[in-house]
Amino acid sequence: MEILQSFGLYLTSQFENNMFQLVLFIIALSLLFFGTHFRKNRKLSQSRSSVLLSVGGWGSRGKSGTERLKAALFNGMSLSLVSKTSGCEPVMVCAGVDEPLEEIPIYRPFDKATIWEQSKIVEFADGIQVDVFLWECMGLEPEYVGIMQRDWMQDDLATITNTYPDHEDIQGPSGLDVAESIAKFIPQNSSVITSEEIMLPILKQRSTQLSSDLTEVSLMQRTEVTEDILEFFPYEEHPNNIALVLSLAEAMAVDKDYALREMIERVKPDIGVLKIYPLLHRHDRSLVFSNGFSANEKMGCLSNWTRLGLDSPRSQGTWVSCLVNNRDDRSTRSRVFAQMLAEDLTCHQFFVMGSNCLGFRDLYLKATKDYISKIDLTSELGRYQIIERLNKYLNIPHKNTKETSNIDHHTDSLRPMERWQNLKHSYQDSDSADAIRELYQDFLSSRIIVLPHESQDPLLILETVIKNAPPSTSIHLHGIQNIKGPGLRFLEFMEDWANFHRVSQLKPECRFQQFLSSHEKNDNICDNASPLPKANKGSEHSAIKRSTAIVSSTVAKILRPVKEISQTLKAASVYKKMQQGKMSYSHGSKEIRDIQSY
Amino acid sequence: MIQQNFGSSLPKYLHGIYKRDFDELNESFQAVASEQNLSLSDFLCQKILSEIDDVRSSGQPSRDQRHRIDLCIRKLIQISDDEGPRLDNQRIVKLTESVPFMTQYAGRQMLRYLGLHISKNQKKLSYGDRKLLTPLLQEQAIQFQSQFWLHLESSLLLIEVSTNHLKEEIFDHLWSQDYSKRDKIFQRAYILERGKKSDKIWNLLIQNDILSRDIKDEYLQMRLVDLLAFRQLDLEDMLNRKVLFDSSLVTTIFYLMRPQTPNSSLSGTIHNFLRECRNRDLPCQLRILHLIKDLCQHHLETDVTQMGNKDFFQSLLDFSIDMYKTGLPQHQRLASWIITFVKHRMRKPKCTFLRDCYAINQYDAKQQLTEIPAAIGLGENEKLTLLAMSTYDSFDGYIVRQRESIRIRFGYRPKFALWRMIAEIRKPSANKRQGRPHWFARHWLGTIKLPSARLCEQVTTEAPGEPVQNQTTGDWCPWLPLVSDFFMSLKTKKELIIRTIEGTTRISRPNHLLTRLKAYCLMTWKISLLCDLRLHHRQETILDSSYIKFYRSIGFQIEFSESSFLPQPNNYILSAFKET
Repeated sequence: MEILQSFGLYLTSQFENNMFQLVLFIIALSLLFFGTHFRKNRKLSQSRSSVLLSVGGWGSRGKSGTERLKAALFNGMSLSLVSKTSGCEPVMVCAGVDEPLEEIPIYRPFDKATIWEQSKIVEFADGIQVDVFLWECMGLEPEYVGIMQRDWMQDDLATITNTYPDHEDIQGPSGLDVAESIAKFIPQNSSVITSEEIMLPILKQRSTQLSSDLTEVSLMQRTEVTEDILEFFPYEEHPNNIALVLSLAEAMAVDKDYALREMIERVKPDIGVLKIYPLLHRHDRSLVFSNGFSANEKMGCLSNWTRLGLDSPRSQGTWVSCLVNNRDDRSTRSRVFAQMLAEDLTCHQFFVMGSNCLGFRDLYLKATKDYISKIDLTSELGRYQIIERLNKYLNIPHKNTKETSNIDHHTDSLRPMERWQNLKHSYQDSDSADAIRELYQDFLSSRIIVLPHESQDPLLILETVIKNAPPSTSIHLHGIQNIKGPGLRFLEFMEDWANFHRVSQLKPECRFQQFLSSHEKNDNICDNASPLPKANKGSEHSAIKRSTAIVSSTVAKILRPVKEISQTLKAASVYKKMQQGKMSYSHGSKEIRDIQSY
Repeated sequence: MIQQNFGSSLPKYLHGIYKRDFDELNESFQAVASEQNLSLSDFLCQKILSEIDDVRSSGQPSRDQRHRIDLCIRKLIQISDDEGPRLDNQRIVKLTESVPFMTQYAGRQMLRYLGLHISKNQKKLSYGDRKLLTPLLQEQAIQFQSQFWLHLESSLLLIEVSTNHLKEEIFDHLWSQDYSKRDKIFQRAYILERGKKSDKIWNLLIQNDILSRDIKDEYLQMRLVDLLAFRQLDLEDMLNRKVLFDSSLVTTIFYLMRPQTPNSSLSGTIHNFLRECRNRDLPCQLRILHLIKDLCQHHLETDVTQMGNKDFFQSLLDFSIDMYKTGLPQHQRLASWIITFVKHRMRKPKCTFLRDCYAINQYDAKQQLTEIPAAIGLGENEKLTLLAMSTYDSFDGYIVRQRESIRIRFGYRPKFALWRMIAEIRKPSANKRQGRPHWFARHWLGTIKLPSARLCEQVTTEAPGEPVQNQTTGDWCPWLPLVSDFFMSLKTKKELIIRTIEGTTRISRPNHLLTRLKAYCLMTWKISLLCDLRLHHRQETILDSSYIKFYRSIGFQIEFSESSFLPQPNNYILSAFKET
């Protein structure tokens, strides 16, 4: 009791320690800090030296897709591997010798990324004694990238996809600076393969300085990835990425037929890849959805737009819509996409979901005003160009001409049709400039539809999109901007639909209806199985419920660190079991997902 | 560019996997093999078989065992082209029997090696040998039915071993087997690939008339061109049948222009294929122009004298001029390079000046200042144009001095620029990179600039005044001065010259001090507008001349004169410098 009391006094007093004790404390703390780092670095170094072949990959665009292709290639070469990659979420793609690739999510405490994760994964790879370790550089800061490459990994081989200007706030400000930042990934005394063309001199210079070989993907290697080969891939892979991995295969003395077939056969695509889902029929319209959520910068988005043929002249009865998944923590991206929608993406309508949708709408309206103010309508040619552009938007020839009169009343965006019909024959007159400008402004402003939060369920989104299109049209819905949040939910819904479509024996026109029935049934089963009480509409105790919710969320926030620590320990134990061979990769993946969703 | 840098016997990054064993193989195995009076291939086979015996007893190969087997097979394949003596039959049989105990890839490689080995040593395979191997391979082909590559390789090996009747039967079965469309394409492509090295497969392809069929798959057609070119057959037959895909056309031109292709086949054939290119769509023409430029550049960097004869160059020139005359900016850009190269090559076939320029290591940042020996017999105009060609795909060069030798500085030097600082202050943004100076602009290192046509941004960024790719031309229009070039001009009395393949741009600053001051203020104030205006199009293929007009209105003198190499004025460029 006395000891406790004296200790309590010691704790609460300001003067119980002397200078010597303070110095001792600082030394102890420093030893702990530096000792921990020294130990971690040493462990990482030991693990890295046990890994026989390390192949890193970086670039602005296409790095995740390329990593997955590389994993498929090495898997085809009967080598065991671990590939650290990302996409929608960070995962490890693992495989034993002559075994299929398995995805294991990487558990991140507090959902935070740190470069120390690299050390854990290298230790994991060392533990399971893999032949090849592949890793995608997920860092952005050039200094961190330098640490990972030159101090830790020292890759035997590296790939750089491209150096498009992206993350300029960290790697920029100019495109040249971005290329120089990415060039910091080049290892010393090693070999690098790249499919970058424009900033190639910068990469070459850096590799010369570091005594590394740089090989660029040649035109002939790109030519070898023909259209008919691209069709065999389970998703829309960019030919440059395939050509890059083919170049890697060629350098490893693997013939291209073998490499291509094995990549196609074995690749494990990310849910966020550019993919076109099966056609569905609903309410007298058909809809096909293409996923472009992962292309979250301008060049990637425009490239997808072109590759899908959405900038080409449209066939009869085609209606193009975009589904924009906005995030409130990515304001720069929102601005870029708002501008793209105003100037570049010629869709009939677009729907905004996610967070801060009204903010996005304001950005878009401002972008349209700026864009229209820059258009030169003083010349006849300028006016003609705008009329042609409007022609692309508004000219929707329909299979059934009787439907035409319904359309004007049906969809707001088509009401300007009458005005356009009048103006398109009078553009030669210079007085029509203001009317054309006003029409174009009105049209652009009316294209946007903001989806309220309660309508962001995947099925409700589809219903909204379909009902806002004219009847008897073929809708192409393209998802853009971000994947996280409602975008991922929507994709999961479409994946379920794709899986259902694959096995269904029904006529194509009836499949979606059947899918919805089975989907609702599953939802009902889940609801019935849920231990949580259902919301009682019109409850008299809603104020008590709200305050209970506030209290419980506050308590949850306070207890979160404890929960994260316990989940981290659980995840670590799962990884350890996989390392020791006591748990299969697929079972381990399931366990990690359960921990993440808890 | 075309050659790979990994020419060693084993790619060096695979040393990571095979390090210990590879060194051991290279140094001590050769010695051990000699001690035992064995050839290296026999020794390697012995080693593989002993490893397989261990695997048989343990069940699963360990990591080290797998690596040793893989390595020995790689080494066998690598030496198979050089080594004369063949493996004895017993060894071949034992190696074939060992395939099921290997990994899928190693097994496939083993069967491939055996197939190529037997193909090479065909005459030494007796009736007894065939009788021994045939049933074994037939059994394995059935065993591997569900494994695509093992089945294919064992079937091809069976063809090598079999008699006439059986081999035709196997070939028919392989070529028309009911695989998925995907696997059928890869199978056939691989058989065509094997046609290069195996006379038996080649003969079967001819007998079955495969080579003269109209192949509808683009990938297969490319492989067919590959095979015909390898076997040095007449490719024109494909042209006459008018069945070439765009990619096959590109492949054909690649083969005709490769350094390894004998010169004799070039002149007539390439002319006909280039004539066909003129009938193709624009993307195909652009690809072919790119390819021709790349191949010319490659020849330049290796040995330009081996490239082709006079007729060959004339064909290239005619094609390039036709492409130039289309008036399309991207075509004109690439065609300009080719025309300049070919004309120079035809006029001065023995001149090495251009090759000397290319030989400079422009990628070593330390070696910024370079001297090129004087170009004897070349006019000033031609010399500067050739220098512009050499910097086309690398860093900017600046001529510092021209006397007996030419002194050039490569790269760029960022220096503090007041106009950049003012632009930053006017447009602050939290989205800009912190801890990185935004006040620097590129400074000229000499008075004659030889800009790179390649280095540019693909989209505009927060740094104003940077070269941005023009989608119409594919480059950033290096002949059109940047805003920073005009700021640079204000600082120097001398005329600034920008030398490109397309021509020469000259900039002189305003004469009076007050005019210069006024120009500086106006340029700084309107910096964003000027950056936007630089690549503004009035119509799709006409640049807006407002950019140059603005600078002329504030006192600058700007002139553009076209290169004498080019056949006609480039309207796209001239539209930017139009007075009215």
